[in-house]
Amino acid sequence: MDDEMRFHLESEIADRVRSGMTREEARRTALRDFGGVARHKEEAREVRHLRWIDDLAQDLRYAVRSLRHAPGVAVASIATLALGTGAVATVYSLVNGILLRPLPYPQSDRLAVIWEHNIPRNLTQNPVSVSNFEAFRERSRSFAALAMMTAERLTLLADGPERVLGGAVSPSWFGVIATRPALGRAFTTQEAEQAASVIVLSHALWKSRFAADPAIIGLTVQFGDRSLTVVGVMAEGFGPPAFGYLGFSSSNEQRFWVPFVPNDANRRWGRAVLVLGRLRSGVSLEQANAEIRSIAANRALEVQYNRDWTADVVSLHSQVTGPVRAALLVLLVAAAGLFTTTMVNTAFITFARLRRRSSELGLRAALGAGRGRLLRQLFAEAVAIAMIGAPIGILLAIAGVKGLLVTRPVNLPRLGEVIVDWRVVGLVVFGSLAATVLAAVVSALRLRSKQLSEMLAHGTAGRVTAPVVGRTLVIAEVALALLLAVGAGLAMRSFLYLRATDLGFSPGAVLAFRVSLAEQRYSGDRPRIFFEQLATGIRTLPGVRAVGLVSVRPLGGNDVATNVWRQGNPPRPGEAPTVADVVTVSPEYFTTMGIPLIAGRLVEPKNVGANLNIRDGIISRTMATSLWPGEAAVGKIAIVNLNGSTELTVVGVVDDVRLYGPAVPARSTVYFAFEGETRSTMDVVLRTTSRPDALMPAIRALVATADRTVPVYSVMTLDTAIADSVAQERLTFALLVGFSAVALALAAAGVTGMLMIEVARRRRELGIRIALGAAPGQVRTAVVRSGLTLALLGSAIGATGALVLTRFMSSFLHGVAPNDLTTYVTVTLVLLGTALGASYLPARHATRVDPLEVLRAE
Amino acid sequence: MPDRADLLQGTLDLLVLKTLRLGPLHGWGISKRIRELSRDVLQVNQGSLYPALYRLEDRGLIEAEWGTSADGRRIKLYALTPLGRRQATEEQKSWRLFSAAVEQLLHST
Repeated sequence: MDDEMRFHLESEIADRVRSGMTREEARRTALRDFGGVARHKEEAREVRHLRWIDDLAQDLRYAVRSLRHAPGVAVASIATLALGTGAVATVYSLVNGILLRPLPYPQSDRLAVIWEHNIPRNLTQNPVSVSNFEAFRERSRSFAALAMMTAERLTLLADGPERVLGGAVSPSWFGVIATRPALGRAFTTQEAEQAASVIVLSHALWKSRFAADPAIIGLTVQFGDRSLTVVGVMAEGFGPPAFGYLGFSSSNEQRFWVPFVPNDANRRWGRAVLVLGRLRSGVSLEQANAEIRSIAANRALEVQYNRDWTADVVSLHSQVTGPVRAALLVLLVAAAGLFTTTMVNTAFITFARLRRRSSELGLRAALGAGRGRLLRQLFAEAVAIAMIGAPIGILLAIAGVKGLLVTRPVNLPRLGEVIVDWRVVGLVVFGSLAATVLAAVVSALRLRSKQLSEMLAHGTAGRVTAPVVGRTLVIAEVALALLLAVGAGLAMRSFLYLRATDLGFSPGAVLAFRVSLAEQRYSGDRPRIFFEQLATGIRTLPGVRAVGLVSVRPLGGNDVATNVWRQGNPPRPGEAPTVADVVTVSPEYFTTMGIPLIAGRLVEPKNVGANLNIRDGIISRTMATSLWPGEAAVGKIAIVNLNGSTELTVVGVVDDVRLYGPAVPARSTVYFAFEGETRSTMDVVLRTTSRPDALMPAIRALVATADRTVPVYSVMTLDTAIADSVAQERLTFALLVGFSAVALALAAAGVTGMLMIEVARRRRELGIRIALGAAPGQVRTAVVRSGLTLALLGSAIGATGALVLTRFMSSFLHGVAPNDLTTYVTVTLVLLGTALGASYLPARHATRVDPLEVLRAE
Repeated sequence: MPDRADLLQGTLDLLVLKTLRLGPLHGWGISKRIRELSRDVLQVNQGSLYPALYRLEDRGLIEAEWGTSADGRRIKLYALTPLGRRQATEEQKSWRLFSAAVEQLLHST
């Protein structure tokens, strides 16, 4: 069209020049006669129904300009929007990465885990015995493939000894997860059957220890006292299925895989392997579950060992995400609540802005802008705000996710898959547009033509903002803020409760690490001698107050647990016997850890005999009270289901220790002297006077002097270990507190805004009251009362909602009930206090109304 | 008495159609030809011409085509469609009826 017009104009000019005018004159007259080109274009376009493009562009330009004229409002809108969408997007990234996305294996919905399940003891999620696995594999038709997984540790020697964790897996494991090594190949069934020494590395291990050398395939590497040939390397970013004792925690990354094959030795292990399978296509989880249960029932009849046991099939996805599902969903609901508050605030701000521009709008209406045009204007402004707020929200989400990961939520699964992807971005954009457009729609409903002319006539608000709508919005905001704050309060109390839980030992300044001796090189008495010498050497280091040895330290993972009973009182069939953790310790262990002895004495080293089936030992308080209630336990004999059957004479009782973290109550524990049965892998714990980490170099040197090839690993202070064990609770609590803080701020802003509007609306009334002698205090009280009423109504609604919704939090709340009165009362008081503070500014503003000015304006 | 007359909208449509009878023309050419054929009496305001052209195009009476001028410039040429050709005759008939009626009225008072 431009070309056309231009050509027309120039032809006209040329024509006039031909008829005798100078070029100057020709151009001038032609332009004059032509009229405004823009107008022509516009009129032409109007005819062509293309007007809307012009209008839209104009609307957007005008929108940006009007936002610039009211920067405070614009900033408030954008900030509110960005905060709300950022919060939701952060949580959504978490939920998306952890819960919603399918696991990173082909057809991952076909993957399922088999657990054994003891019926009388209600022990679910129990590992499987090797023989039972073989039975399942042989007899099941629901599974296309089944594989076993168990933990394996190897020592790497180059660049200092390092102990790495990996998986010992059936060769079918690669088929089950349908993922093959990126380099080389998986191991074959023959290799597995012949127990060949082959290994597949993870990408990370290949990069860190073997410099990503492509010639690694076929190379034989020394791992401690084993020579293994590397046959494959997994792809970068590959994450093996991690659940059960191979589940997510700070030190549980599988770095390699070696073959695991049933043989006589491991068939005697007991229930120790994890089982993963791929369902045949067309077979449902329920069908597989039913089939496995019936196989397990047969096994119970065939073998005494399986009596009272059955089996369960669980999908891998729910296995991995199950523990965190409740918490994540609560967080999502909380974020949604925060976003609703954001929408309410945005609506409110739009309302208030509309009110202030009412005279301008009235004028535009009088000048011919149709109602449709004005509506379009509002929408354009909404879109403009959304388009500015959305990118900020996305940036906030990215920062939020990074910040979350920095706080080491170590027991959240699939953290590597939490990123801000296009779904999250889409959510932010959609949310921003929804909030702003909705606000515009609500405001637009107020633009009735009668009111437009009213606006022009009075030049002031008229009745654009009906108080009811504004009040409802503020009450809604307050209710949401209370809801979130209650959730945050509960999460906080739960977290603090866990942190304050006495674990039975004093963790301060205690350092722990693990040492592992190669079994071939350290047989018989040699491990005991090694560890005794090590302990002695460490005790002489400056700053060390005590050193103890233990088979597995508290919060160090699972070790041996078995049944115990009073001598002469074995468990009857169908009865659930007491289960005790069995721990091997050095005599100084208890003093090092600060575990008090409450009866009897410690085991004397010289009293340790060579007979593993008749031993002295120490038991925990729980075991004493459950086996010998009301009696003294010292001197009594218990039977421990270990090494066949072990007679345990109780020489002492120590207080309970929570071995698995603050959330798991302490249970019976048996402590044997390590002189009698030293393991080749032991944890060393030491209490120091100074910074524990500073001692590690000296300790590593000590170990290296004794044996250069022995690795020292899993180094951690007990404080860190405890903090890690409540990482998820800490994350939940931190996020909820953050959300409720934002919601509270928004609600406070809402109250202030609403009261300001009220004051402005009732200026005449206030002016008259002041003229008639009302004291400033009375005026202030009136405003504050108004604010408190809003807050009380909102709190009541919010509290009711909280009572209903927080029930869903009970599965991960510790030490506090979802309807805990103290929390509700405290939160309500905080909210009312905030409302009080928010009322202060409008109250002061109200006292400043000049009665003379108001009366004159009448 | 003004020697330039404002044209009624519908009349302009008719004039454009008639002008194009003689062959396709670009916008300026149409306005020039109308001026010439009316001996400078009818000067088409550019602001009215282009809307008229687009209207006619929307009604399917003319169609536009981009081409190049003699000196290589991009120009838009308009041509009558068969429908436009038929419509031109119709419009001419109605115009004659209308103008006759107006004449009669003016004579009788």
